Amino acid sequence: MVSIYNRPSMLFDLTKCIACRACQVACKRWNKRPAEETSLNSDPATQWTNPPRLSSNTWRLVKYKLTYDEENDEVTWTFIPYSCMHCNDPPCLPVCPTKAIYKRDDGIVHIHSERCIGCGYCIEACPYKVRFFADDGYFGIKSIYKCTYCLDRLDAGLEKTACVQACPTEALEFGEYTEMHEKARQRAKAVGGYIYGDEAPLQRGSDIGTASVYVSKAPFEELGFPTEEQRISAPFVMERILLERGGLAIFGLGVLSFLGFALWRRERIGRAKMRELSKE
Amino acid sequence: MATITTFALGEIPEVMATTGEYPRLDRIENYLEGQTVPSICLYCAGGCGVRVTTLNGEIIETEGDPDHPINSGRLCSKPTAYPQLIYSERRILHPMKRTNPNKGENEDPGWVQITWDEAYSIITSKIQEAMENVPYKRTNTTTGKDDYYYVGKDSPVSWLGSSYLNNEECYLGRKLTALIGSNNIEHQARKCHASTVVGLANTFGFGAMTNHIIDAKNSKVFLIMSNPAESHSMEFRWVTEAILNGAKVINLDPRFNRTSTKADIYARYRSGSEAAIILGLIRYTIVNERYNKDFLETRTNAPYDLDGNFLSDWETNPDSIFGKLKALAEDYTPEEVYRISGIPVEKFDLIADTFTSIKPGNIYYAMGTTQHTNATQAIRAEAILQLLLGNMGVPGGGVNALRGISNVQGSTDMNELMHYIMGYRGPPQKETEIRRYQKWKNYDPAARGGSSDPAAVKANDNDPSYTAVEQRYYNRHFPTWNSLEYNWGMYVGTWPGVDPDNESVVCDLPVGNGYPIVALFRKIYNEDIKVLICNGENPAVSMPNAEFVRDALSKVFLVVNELFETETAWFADILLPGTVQVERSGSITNTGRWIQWRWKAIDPPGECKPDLEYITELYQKIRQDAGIKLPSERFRDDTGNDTGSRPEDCWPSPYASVFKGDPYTPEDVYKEIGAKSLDPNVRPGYVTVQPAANVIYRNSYNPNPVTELDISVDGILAKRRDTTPVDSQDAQYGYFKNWAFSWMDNQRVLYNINESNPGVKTFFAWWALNDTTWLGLDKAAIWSYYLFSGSITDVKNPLSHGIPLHNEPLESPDSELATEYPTMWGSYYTYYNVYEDIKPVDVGDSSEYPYVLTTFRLAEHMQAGALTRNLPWLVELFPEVFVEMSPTLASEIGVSSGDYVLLKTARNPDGDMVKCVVTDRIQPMTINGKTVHEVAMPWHWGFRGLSTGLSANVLTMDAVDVSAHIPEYKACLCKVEKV
Repeated sequence: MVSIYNRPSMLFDLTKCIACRACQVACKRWNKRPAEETSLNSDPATQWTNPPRLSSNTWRLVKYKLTYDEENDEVTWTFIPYSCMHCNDPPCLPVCPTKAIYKRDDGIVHIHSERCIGCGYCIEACPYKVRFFADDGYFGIKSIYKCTYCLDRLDAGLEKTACVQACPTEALEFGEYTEMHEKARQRAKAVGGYIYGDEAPLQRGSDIGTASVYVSKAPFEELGFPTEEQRISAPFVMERILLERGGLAIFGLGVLSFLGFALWRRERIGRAKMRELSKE
Repeated sequence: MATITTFALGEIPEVMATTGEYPRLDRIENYLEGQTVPSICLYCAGGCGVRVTTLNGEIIETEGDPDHPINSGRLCSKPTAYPQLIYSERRILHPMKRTNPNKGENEDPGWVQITWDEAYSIITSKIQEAMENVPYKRTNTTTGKDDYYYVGKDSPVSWLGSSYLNNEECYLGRKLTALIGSNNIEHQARKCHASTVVGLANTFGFGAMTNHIIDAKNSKVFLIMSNPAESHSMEFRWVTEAILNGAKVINLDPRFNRTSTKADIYARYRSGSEAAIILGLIRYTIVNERYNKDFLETRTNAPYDLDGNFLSDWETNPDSIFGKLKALAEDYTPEEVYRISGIPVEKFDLIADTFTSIKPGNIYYAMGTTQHTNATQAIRAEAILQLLLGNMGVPGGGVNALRGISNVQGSTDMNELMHYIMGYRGPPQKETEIRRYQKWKNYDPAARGGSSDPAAVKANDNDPSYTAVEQRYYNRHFPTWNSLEYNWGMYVGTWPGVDPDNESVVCDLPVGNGYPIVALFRKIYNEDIKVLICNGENPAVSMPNAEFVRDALSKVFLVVNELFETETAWFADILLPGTVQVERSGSITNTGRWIQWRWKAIDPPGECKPDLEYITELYQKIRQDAGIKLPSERFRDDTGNDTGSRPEDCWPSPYASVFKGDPYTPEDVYKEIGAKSLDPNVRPGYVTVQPAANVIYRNSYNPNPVTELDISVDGILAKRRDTTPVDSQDAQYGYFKNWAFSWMDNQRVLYNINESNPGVKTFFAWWALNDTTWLGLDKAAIWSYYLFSGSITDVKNPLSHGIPLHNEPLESPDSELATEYPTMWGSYYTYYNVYEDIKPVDVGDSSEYPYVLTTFRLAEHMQAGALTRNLPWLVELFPEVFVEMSPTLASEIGVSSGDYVLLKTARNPDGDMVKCVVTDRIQPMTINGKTVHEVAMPWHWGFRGLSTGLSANVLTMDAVDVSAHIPEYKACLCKVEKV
């Protein structure tokens, strides 16, 4: 039985990452994602990061972050592999008008792609910005892609995701939620650093913890991770969306509920037909 | 000039589509259903296991081999993209012939598909034509008789082998060139670690990484002068493990790189000052008495004087070798090191204190140290530092040369090199040596037909007509020549051998060294060498002063055996389709000397041919169609005397002759290379004192296996895949002695006298002090006889001392330093006349070219780039070439990050455009009181492939290390201009 204790979790130890980007390529290989057309990234702060951002074809990206302390002549170059965090209480879920997004029993946040109508509300709701459109749906309808925690591998009984298996320095680890989170806490203690994603249910009864957990020597605000404020959880996400994108959201919701109904109906009709066929 | 073009990534989905089933949509089921085949990665020399999953003859998945002790299922980005290499639609699938007679960067070759037979017949007729007038016979003025042999360097046929090939294929490449009388054979190893071989072999005995990959976990402090996080990512797995156990990491590099991020102490230094830094550490160790007295006294020549007397007061006696080292190192104070290298005094003291106070300490180095005109000296300095600290012959210590390509250790061991024949044993240098060899054979009259008692061989030691040096030299080389007579079906000696001094010399081994690679290309340019057969190597990108090399490639009949249409292939007359490593079997040797087997997983596509097959067929055609004969066969034709040479019986191996119609496998060749004992059924009637053709691979094939494990692999010990520790040491240090085999004699840490197996445990550097006195082989050479030249009187030249000194690169940014520490490049360099006659080095002056240019590698790309620049997933990560520079320099010349700049060097005074990345990771340095800027460029690019760009090597310099012939890629002068 899957519970919060043994559901899958990924540990990102930034103190061990050497940015070889094996995880980035392994993700593409296993998930059949083509390469993107890129150009040299010469931006002084993020140089070498490529492609410049996640996309529907790049579900895992290693970000390079360079800072320089001129006074002490000290370079800090941090490598941040990131992808969907698989939130405990995913804000992307309740905003989906067609219920395409769902959370599996084991905590993996996934998408019924045949139900996705490409409204993009989940993109809006995601504090980590790890969800992307792809123009591969029917009739030009966009669908959403992101990291799946290699659920096809896990379902087939493999122990690790493709990215974790590739990682040379064990900067990425994969295991049971409680074990990974405990390991992260100990590791943060050992290096005198910080941990991210391990928050227990917090104020206003919301849970902003995530299945993925990070360890870093530097504070996560410095690395550009969303703050606690930004990591609003599911019960409050509708509120935020309405506040921020009020008019559009209400209109959109109207249209989308209709579309949702249409899809639901289509599915019902489809099932009925299937039943008839099987009778024949 | 090279142009920068963008590339069409739009092709990628097509690649996947046209290559059919990969990646399959129903892949997880196929993956679970498929068969797994163990292979070894083809990229760096880490030797990681790759598990290939196949179904119905197709590859479903490639991933890290979870059972492999080095990588436990992990892989860096390059092999992770492996399927895009195997199934690339850019691969060459058929032999092709050039139709455009003009060659050049802008000349399309106009390929026309031909058959393998057509290709062979064109190649063999060219070889025949080239070799028509090569003399094989000369009349000896002393004996008045005809001597029969080829002079190795005079052969018009040259061969570039490859570190991407398996041991058996490299071995056959060397065998083939020897059998056609050529020592003009070279490969990548010359350009990566030639200086390591000379530096370490003349200090310790073997010119290889002393410890192994996994051993890093036993270290407590690292001095990393390379970039393993990028160039050898899996090596960094073990460094990470050591860090978790509390090890300290010191990283020295001109630019802050991905390894530096994990260092406790990072210092930038100017490229080319490595020797000065290490000599500074040596001085620190001596002055602060951090050296290990017991170790120096028992295991090195430090306490001896140059006449071989042990001095009990060696620590204070200026006549001891230790005293001499002390006196020479005295100049390298922290202040002087700062003046030369730019490392601030305080930081240097911290580095020195850290490295000399923690044990065991490990030195990692790679191209940043090996590619200089004084590289051998810098590496010797590292070796001496580790001897002083007693860090040698212990787990977690060592001088660890990180080698670049998957089988570069193996291809070096198989000696695809102009000055070795096999197992680091050289060819005969002159006919008198052959006469001595005949005498040696006569000491054991049955050397080829009776007793193989080693004692009989040793009798040679007592011949008073030999000097001590000669005795050592001959005892080292003669058994290998003897073995090659047996294994290659040759004859070496005089005929009939009764009176060696007055008979005809008949020698099938080419006599004398060939040309080292940079000189070789000058000979090619001069059209002295007419045929170049280039296998899995891309000199048009990887050679220094690449434009000159491209000009040379335009002048020669060029055969290229490749996976892709590389920059070198662009100049080829015949292009042959090669195979990816999963398409053939064989053994390869990783940087830590592990000889591992990789199994064939799928059949090659199209007409791609495994190298073993191609080299075998090529030799068959050369023999049958071109009529190339051995000198002994010419001798037989001329005089009717049969020396008994039978190369046909031994090709590809005495275990399987293709001429007799035997089926052959890589295993047959493997057996020949490393046999522990003679098989009486192989070459009946012949014996040799040394069954293994390659002495350092001896015992890797055991024809009479005893243990269950060895029996299960038929004595092919490289095939062993058992991770069970053999004893407590194995378990503690991670030797994995039942996994594959390690040279020599399965010793995992070289010179470790405490290792629990009968390997070679002692140092055995040669340092005969003079011609009559010989100090035992069990000492490491702090003073090295073979890196000492009595004829050089210049005290600023380390060869005049036999002890390393700092010397400036040929292009030094500071004229004062250049005078004080003059370059080692000079007229006494053996091949200097080849330069003088054909093309002297273009040298730039610091007034015109003020900045230091160095080159580097990226984790995502491989060497000359064909294996990664054609893979979309890797191109995506680094799509374009660039040059890195500091913000200070960028603002001085008025450019910002991403702008094009014009890079000029003396080789390329018109300059080439390249985009710049302005980064805080590079900062100006203070050298000799003045500000010096360094810029750095990755060298993976060229003008062919999915991603194209400027080759850094059109800018680098073709002066070489005077002892090892390795080019000075890493410290050139340049000018950077705004466009």
